[in-house]
Amino acid sequence: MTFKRISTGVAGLDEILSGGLITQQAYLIRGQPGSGKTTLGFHFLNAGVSQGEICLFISFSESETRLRRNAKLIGVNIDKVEFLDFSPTEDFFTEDQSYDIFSPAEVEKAPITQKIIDVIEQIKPQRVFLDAITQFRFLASDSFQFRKQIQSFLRFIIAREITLLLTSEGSNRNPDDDLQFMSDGVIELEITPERRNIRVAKFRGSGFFGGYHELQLTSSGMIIFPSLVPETHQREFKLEVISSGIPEVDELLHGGIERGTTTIISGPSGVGKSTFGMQFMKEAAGRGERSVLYAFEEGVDTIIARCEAVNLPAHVMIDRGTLSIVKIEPLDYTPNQFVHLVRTEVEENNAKIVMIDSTSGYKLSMQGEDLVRQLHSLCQYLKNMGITVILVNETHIVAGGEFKVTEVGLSYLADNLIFLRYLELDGELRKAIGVLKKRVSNFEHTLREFKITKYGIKVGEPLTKLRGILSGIPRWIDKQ
Amino acid sequence: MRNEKYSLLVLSINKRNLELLTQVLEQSNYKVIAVGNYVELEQGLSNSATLDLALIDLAGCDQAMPASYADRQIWSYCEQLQAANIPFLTFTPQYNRAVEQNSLARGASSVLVKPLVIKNLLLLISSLVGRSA
Repeated sequence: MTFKRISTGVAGLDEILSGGLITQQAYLIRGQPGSGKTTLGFHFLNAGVSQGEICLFISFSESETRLRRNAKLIGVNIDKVEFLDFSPTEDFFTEDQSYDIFSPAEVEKAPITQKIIDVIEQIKPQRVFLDAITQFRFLASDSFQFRKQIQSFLRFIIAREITLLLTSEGSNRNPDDDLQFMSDGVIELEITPERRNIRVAKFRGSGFFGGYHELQLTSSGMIIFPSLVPETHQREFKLEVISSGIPEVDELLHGGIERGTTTIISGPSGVGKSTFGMQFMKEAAGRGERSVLYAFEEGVDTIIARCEAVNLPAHVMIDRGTLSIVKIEPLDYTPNQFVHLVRTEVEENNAKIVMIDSTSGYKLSMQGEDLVRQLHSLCQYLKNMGITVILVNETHIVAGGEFKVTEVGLSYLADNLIFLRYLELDGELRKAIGVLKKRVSNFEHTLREFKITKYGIKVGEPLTKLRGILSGIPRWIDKQ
Repeated sequence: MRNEKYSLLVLSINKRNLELLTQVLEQSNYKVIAVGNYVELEQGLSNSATLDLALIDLAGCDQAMPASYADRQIWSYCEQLQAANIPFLTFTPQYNRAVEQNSLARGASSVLVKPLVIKNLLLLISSLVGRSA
């Protein structure tokens, strides 16, 4: 049996919920004040209105005027949403409407219940947002009555084919376990000192992506960045070899790198890693494919200028839409926000090559999270989507010393490992390129000289007559 | 319908309490004389012959009265009710032994702690007015 699903109005949340809320169920939105419960309600009702549904906001805390204003401030249109406003009017304060002769349960329950029944029977809404259900607790004489009353209310709502969202400020001091038990779904909003999170704790009749997902409340409402689950993303692609456009490099790689693989280009600062990565993007542009470079260290203008200086037509590629260079300020993005950017490029703009320059900059944006785990997850997703990934990795040893491919334990992520290295040869600083690993095919096990000229990248013949290349100070064997 | 013949005097300084009590009693077809201060209370008591029961919400009684009534205490009105043989109930926000003793000593039929349960209040009133009738 399949259930009809509806959008929550927040794309990321629909994804976490495996496609949206199942209709005619009641969902509890839990969270402390300011966690975004009402904002989620605005999106939920707006999504309904935009589908031509009748939507009702039942408010026990804020006035209709204030709620409409708040929604407007974040650009969510709830003009067509009906309101049932039970918030206290100013008379309650100015004319002292407080009382203690009878309990609120005796005084308020009947008129409130009747009003809700009347309005629902009259306008017949498809979506109802009730903020906050915890107010009902004050209208019940004891917890048994409260539970009975809520169960009865939920039955009334569901029998009228309504999808209901109710909010609760449940906490350790004011537990709402009973509400969680009675609801068909529970969505928790959380504020930590570092960030806001959302978690689906219960969803009757559906699977969902568990765990915490990042949430942002912005000037345009709620944005959710679902944590990446690579296995849930898959796209058919041909495992073909992508040429670098430089015959000598293709010989090193026995044809090139394969589509849907991860390549680490490793080497010290200034050796030409980024330019080498761009070479694959230039070739992709020639095939009409789009590439994206996420620059964590250099500015877009610097990259373009450097490319143009070595015969890589970055400007033309950008103009034709075959290249996008995105400057990333590491501390402005969390891992999930960065993933969201990448996914948009892949899923909406059909990018075929993604280059991250560099892994050190990416590490900064992890803000304390596990670099290898995050990068593994992102690379796995990109591979599943048939994207060729290029990771630029800087090593700190310029020449000589112990040979290291990466310094943060990333090499296991790589299907292909290409390294660039400085050499001191006959008193002159030169560069060499070599391949250390290639998972899908064999590769040339020699090193070649690597040069960046104004005409582009030049790679020489195999350096078969040199010994001790990895030491950084090789020597000619035929000169002995 | 059967309660229409009974007149109840209701005193509460709290406006909303007075409204709610009046509403509940009128819905049960009692004739209600609602008073919110001692001036109105004295007017209500001037026709004490027609009263069947009085309900006195004690909260704030001796504090919120006009200066000319500063020397009057709610207990003196309770004594007046007792003298006129009118049964009455007093309501208090929380249990207080002194308030209970003062009320009972001046003839209160019972001292009820708020919030009241409407159903129980109506049953009590019904039994009191029935007894006095």
